[in-house]
Formats: sequence, C-alpha cells, structure tokens
Amino acid sequence: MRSYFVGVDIGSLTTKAVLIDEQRLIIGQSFSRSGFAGKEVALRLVGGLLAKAGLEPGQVSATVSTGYGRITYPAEREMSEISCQARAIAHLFPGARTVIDIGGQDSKVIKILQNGRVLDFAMNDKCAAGTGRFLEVMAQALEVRVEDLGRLSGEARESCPISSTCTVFAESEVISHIARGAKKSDIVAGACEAVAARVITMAGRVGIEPDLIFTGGVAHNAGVVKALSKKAGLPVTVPPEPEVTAALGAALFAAAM
Amino acid sequence: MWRATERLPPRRRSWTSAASAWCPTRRRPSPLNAVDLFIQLVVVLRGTPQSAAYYRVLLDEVKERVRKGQAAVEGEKYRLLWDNIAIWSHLYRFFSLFSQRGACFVVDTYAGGWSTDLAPGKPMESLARAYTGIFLNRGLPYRVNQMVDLIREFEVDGFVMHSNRSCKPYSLVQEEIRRLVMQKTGVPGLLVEADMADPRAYAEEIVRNRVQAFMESLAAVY
Repeated sequence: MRSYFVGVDIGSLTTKAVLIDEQRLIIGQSFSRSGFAGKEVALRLVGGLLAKAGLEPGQVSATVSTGYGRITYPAEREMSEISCQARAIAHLFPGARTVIDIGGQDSKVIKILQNGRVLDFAMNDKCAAGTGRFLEVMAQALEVRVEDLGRLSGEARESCPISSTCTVFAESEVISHIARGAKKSDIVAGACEAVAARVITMAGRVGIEPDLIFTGGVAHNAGVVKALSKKAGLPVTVPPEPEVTAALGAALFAAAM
Repeated sequence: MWRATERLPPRRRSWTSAASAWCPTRRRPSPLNAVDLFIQLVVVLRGTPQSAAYYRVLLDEVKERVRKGQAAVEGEKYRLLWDNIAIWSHLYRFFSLFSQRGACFVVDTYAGGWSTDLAPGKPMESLARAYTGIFLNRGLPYRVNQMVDLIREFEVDGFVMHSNRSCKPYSLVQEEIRRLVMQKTGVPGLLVEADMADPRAYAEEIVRNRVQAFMESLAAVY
C-alpha cells in the first residue's frame, strides 16, 4: 500500500494543509482562515484533502505540524516554520539561498543552503509593520479588498510616502493622504513600498544572496513583489502557491521521518 | 564615611579565577550550565570572605560532579555560549527551552565578567581598572574577540545573545557582534529580545519560536 504524508501550518491568520505521496509529489493543498479554532480548521482541511484524493486517514503515515498553532494539532512531530519554509523552498528551488516570507503577522528572512539547512534567520519582533496585517489595515482604511492591492499599486503614477515603523501610525498617514486628495493607487503603492522597506531592513541582519524566493500570502501582492525586487536589487521568484510552502515543508519532513 | 579599604580583603579570588586554570565546563559533558551560575552571588557580595567561601563550596561540588561524570544537562548534545545578563523573570522557563533539547550553556560572558583581582594597597586605582576594563564597558572589537575566543576555547556549537531593553548601551551593538562572530567562527548565533527585570518585554511564543528554529538549525535534521 502506498504511503502519504501531511503537513499542517496553523498560522496566525490562515491555516494551510498539504498532502504528498512517497515521491514527494503534491496530491492536494488547501487553506482557510484560522479564526478562533485553528486546530479544527486544520482537521477539516486535512479531512477534505483525504476525501478528495479518495484516501482513508489510516493511509497517512506521518503528519508534521508548524505555525503558531503547531502544538495544538495531533501530529507525530511539530517543527518551526523557519525549518519547514527552508525545507520546502530548497525542494522547489535548489538554487535558492534566501527566503523572504511575509505572512499574516510574521515576516521572516531565512538564509539557506542547497539541502535546506538554515544558516541564519531574522524575524519581526513585537510589531505588525511589514506584515500582511499591515496591508489589511491599509486596505480597510482605503475601502479596497486586500486582494486588489497589487493591481491598484500597478496603476500608480507615483507613490505616497508612508513610514514603515508602525501600523497604527501608518494608518493615520494613509488617512491624511486621503484627506489631501491623493489617488488610491498612489497610496497603495506607498503602503506596498513601506512593507518592502521594513522587510529589507530586517534582511540586512542576515544578508540577501540570490536566488531570492518570496513566500507567504503577501507574495500574491504584485506591488510588494516589485518593491522588494527593487530594494534588494535582485529578481524575486514567487512559487505558484506561496502561502502553502511552510505546510509543504512540514509534509516533506513527515516523509523523511 | 565609607572607605574602600574597609571592604576589600587583601586578595580576592572569585569562582572563575580560582577555576580558570582548570575550567570544569571545558569537560564533556559539562558539569555546570551557565544558568546555574546566575543564581549564585555573581555581582552582590563581591570581595567578601563569605563570597569566597561560598564559591569554594561550589567549586568542590563541581569537581565532584566532574569526578562522577555528572552532566548539568543530561545527554548533552550541544554546547552553547550565553551573552549578557540573564532574563531573571523567566530564568528557568527560558533556559529549559535549551536544556530540554540537550543544549548546555558551557560558558557565558556575564558571570565570569565580574571576576577581577584587586591589587592590595591601591583600592581606588584597582576599582577604576576593574570597572573600565570590564567587558560591559568595552568596545565592539574587544567583545567580538572575547566571544570568538570563548567559542574556540570551549568548543561551542552556537551562541545566544540577550538584547536587554534595560541596558541599551550594552545591547545596542549586539546585532553587529553577532554578525562578526558568525563570520569569524562559522558558528550560528541567536539574538533574543527581552529584559533583565521587566517581564512585559518577554514575549513567550515569539521567544519559543525563535529558540525552536535555532535549535532545529543546530540539529540539522535533513
């Protein structure tokens, strides 16, 4: 009988699950808002993946959990997102040496070797500036959907300067730009640049080497991708499903157990 | 009026200077974890006969542990270096994140940093030399070299620095020290933000996350 492996990433904002087979091929992946009960969301996601693939829970040989809710999930092992992210990116992009991950409340910069070993990492401390939450707050102030931020920033003629030090004060800056009649797209471009500026400053602690891969939900935002690439002075590669890579790494660890 | 000479014994030997020729934590496994030194009389009662007597008892106990091959951290797998004052409010909760993964802090910059011999007869000059020469008041190159030397001498696998909000003059340059020490030794380092006194500056989940990631990178389970 064939073996299957599951990786679960219970993040601060969204929960992700990935199902892989013995050949490390992705059979299914899904994600949903974590809400109050990340563990239940994760169990539901995994149940859905197994049902879709026509598998029984008994066919899963091992599960590894990661993310803030990792200890709540009934897995064989729990691992940090840093290790899982590094593992997945080394698997998907053997030439990768730096990973920038911007999730709901975390941003991370990870330096890796070809085998996925973590050489060094930096994470944001005690502050939501430079994270997905920052962009959500800006989207709310501008009355646009967070999914539309990337498209809107592409329409900008110029960017309104927004400081990258504090989400709450940055929102006040957005409001004052609105009051002065600035275009939404220009404000959005400024917000995207503020996120990139924050993360690039943090990346200075570990240093950026090519190839540079950008993961996490914020990697869907073309405005942040463009701003990161410009500030790093390097091309930025975004995986097809950038929000599930840590869950994929967890599944890969499960397969290696 | 207080006079320095009244408090200073003619010759003071601290735990570290007494043990420097025979440092027990160079042994594998280490009989002592740095966290154990933080609950001793590191700073207070310096230079008193009581303190010297106390450390003699401790040294005897440590020697006994070496003789019996007793490890401070059972199944010692990793040897670490600690930099800066302890996170007093979460002392054991924090350090157990390492010991439960088989990591022992075999050396630190802080506990031994207070060990200075004071020359007899010149108390003010001795005190001046002690407080200007201490690692806390030295510049970046000195502190980098100190850590590089300790890492090599004690065959350390990784180092952990405490960025202490209540002591910015010491903590400010730690990120640069971390970078240079990693560059010179190839040994990974972790910087943890907290405070020596204020428990509000200690974010449990954030610290746990970083320590776990750091220990996983040391374990290199790939």
